[in-house]
Amino acid sequence: MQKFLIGGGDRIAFPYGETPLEDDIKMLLKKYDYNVLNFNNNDALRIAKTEKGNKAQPIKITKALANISRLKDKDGNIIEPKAKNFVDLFADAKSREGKAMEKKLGLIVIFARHPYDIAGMSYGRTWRSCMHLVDGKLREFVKKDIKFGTIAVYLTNANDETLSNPLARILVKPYVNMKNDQDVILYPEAKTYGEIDNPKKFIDYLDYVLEKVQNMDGEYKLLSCLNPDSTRNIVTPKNSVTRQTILAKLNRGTKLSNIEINMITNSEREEYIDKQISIYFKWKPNIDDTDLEDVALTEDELNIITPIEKEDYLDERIGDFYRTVFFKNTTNRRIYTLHDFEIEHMTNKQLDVYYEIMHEKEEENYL
Amino acid sequence: MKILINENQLRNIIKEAIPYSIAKEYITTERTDAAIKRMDDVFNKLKNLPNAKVLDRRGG
Repeated sequence: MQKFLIGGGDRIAFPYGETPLEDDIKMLLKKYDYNVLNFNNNDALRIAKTEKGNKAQPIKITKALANISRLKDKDGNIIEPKAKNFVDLFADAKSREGKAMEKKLGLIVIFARHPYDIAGMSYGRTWRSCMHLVDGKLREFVKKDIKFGTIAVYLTNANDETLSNPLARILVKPYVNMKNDQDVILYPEAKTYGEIDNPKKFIDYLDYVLEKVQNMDGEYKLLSCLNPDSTRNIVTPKNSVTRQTILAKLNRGTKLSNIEINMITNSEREEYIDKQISIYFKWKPNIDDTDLEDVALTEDELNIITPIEKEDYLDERIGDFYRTVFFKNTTNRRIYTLHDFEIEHMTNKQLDVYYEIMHEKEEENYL
Repeated sequence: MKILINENQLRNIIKEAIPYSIAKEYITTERTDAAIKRMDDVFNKLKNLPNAKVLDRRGG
């Protein structure tokens, strides 16, 4: 069989979950007067200064990180946004049974840049994708990935350094600074292939490592000639001012723009959607002078929630419209125009009434 | 005795490597200078992280 020489430096491996992360967590905890007692057992001490001297109180590392992640400055911005990422990375690795198994087996992450490893991203693996070299519909993009410097990162067992049987992979692709096209970084797509317990942990891990070895400044867009693997078209550093602003808006329940939604992680997006839905349903019975458009969900948001939630939402929204119309003399609500995707959800009878009302509204405005 | 296995299990047994006729088309793809420099920068920094292990193996 033909062999391809993969030279020194084409593959670099790291133990999965045992990274500079430990040092960074220790440093962050120390800054807020926590001392790590036993990293693997999730044990730390909180050092409280009292009149009688320092007092040490046992606390879980994850609990301490969660406390830090909630600290806000006077403007309501989260002070240590990276603490939340640490909680996710740490908690998943240490607490769940599946993770205990991963640790027992010993997993490694291999960063691979040899064209053979890029071409093999979906060939001879336990997964298939549109980049399969024989029958993948988008296989012509594989050469572009090689040409422009995409890296494949594989998760595999510690005894599989030849990548014979990896468990999962992610592509790390070039992203171009939106204000300076000479500034290009390599950043992971938010999509894993292969069956692993916690794909998000793998993505967060790579985000963390790639941010550690590169200087990021501002917003970066995926190189346009490459095939997007996920919705992550725009990225910003996780500790950037922009990102902090977005997270503050997310915490306050303020609507995000589509660009901002693309900048948050998958779990943050889920949190955001949950919050927006919750705000919408909580708002309804209490306030009658808010502009409905401020709380209504967008079509993009609707596409993320489940079909049942979508059905409920549209029913509520259309119902709201009619309540607004029929009680317009007793509320301050403005009669609003429904979006096309909401109108499509109406029955014929509702449609007739809707267009009649909109027609009357137009006439009123005209007069 | 019949043993039923699913597609993933079958793939694990076969472990198909990329045939040379296909692979040569890809391994000869030229990279842009900028791409090479970018990957060199990132890989040099990765090498210097704690616990990094540079692998020197033959794939096939």
